[in-house]
Amino acid sequence: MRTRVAAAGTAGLALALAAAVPATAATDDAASLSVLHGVPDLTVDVYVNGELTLDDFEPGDLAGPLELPADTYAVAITAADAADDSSPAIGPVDLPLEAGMSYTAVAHLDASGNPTATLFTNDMSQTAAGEGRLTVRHTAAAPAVDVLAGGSPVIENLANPDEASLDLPAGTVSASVAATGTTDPVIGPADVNVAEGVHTIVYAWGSLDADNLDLAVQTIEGLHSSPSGVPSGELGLAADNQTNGWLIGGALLVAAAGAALVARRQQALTAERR
Amino acid sequence: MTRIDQRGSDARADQPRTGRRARLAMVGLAVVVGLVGCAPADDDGPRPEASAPAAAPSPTPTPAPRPVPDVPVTDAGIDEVEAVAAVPPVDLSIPSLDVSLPIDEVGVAEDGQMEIPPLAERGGWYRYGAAPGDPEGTAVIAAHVDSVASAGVGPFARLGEAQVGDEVQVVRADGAVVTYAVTGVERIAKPAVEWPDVFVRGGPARLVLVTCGGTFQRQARSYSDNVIVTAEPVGG
Repeated sequence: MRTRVAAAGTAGLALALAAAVPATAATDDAASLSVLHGVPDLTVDVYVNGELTLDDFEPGDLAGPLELPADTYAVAITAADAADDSSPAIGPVDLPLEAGMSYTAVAHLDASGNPTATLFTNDMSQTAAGEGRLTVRHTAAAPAVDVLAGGSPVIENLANPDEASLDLPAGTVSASVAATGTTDPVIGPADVNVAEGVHTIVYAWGSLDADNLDLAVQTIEGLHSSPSGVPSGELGLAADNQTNGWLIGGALLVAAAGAALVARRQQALTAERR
Repeated sequence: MTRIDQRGSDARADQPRTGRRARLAMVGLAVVVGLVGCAPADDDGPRPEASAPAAAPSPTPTPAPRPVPDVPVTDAGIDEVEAVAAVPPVDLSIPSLDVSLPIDEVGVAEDGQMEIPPLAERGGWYRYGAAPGDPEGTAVIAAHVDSVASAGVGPFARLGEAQVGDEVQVVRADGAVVTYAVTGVERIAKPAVEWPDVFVRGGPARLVLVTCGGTFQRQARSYSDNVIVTAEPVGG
């Protein structure tokens, strides 16, 4: 999900702080907001509702998260040496934030290299036990791309300012970004840690023409869920009803047959974890 | 909450800065720090003092302070994201029950249930949850009560005999020993177990030991119940 922010020139960054409370996950009546600065070579100040909120905010930096009351926040971006927001370089733009939602506002370049801003909504739905969520957001001045994991495309034809998301078994992914239909990386390969129960959001930002494409990473915890059970017995030897005659002999026969196989499986598991 | 190194806007105050804006920000921080709690509650990152070196004195009159909120700012570079390496447990013992077993790291099986070491003589620590010795969260360790690979019962067959107050010791890979005292012993029919209440990531530090019990259901080749022993750290 994303919402284009109608910015006159660029970057709408938001952080209203008048009523900010300690930031964790979004609660029912507040919104969680982070801000990513993805416009190369431009240090800025960010004003929210007229108040200086981020001073000397630098490219590649991530601010937040902050829990904010659900509301619409007016954001203006100025040069870093401006005295106030009376002559913003960008904006003001309005960021509508809904209760219970998690957002990242990104100041970035559009596909043609003009500064813009996009408000992304972060999918905070639960992940399956053992998995993490990887989202890739194209916020770079570059044509559509494929995202390759281990050399094969896992996300195809992703264009600025779109995103694509997938849930993966927890682990490290060797990811690279290539022009759509090609496999020659324009970014990476880079190791991305997709942690269990964590939303890992990777931003491609910068400019292909200016040769300053880069990756930024945001992680949001708390998506985890529990295993569905703990299957911790196989034979019935410790059961209340263990007088069943077949168990004593039959089960042990099965055990003998299966032991070698299982031992091998365990070895494989151990090797996998290395 | 994001797992990020906190590099708050105030952290930059310790770098030499010049110019009117820098001083202005400094004044703003001095005013705001302590008044507006914007940083995450668990922020234990470096918090340089707001009175860090300010710009050199200047004849320019200082404008009225404007508050600059204490917004956590971090470098989003990919190299800044670290995989958090927990210290895994390697051995578990319950002296009162003569239970002792080595511990492996386990995850999730293909069917979505917790992975259990095939040998009943080994325990499995759920590596996505807390580790013993972590300041918060539940560490879960499970072992088969009996298994095909072991062709018999394992030490956790005695788990249900644990008494409240029994000591549980966990040795971690770094050699540290974490001691717990049993606070609860339950046997619950499997469908009734609320696993989200067992695999708790936050909250007080505790250890939960799990195995099977009850009657054996031949068709399903599964026990009817789970034996769940809860323990809390002792001696800080």
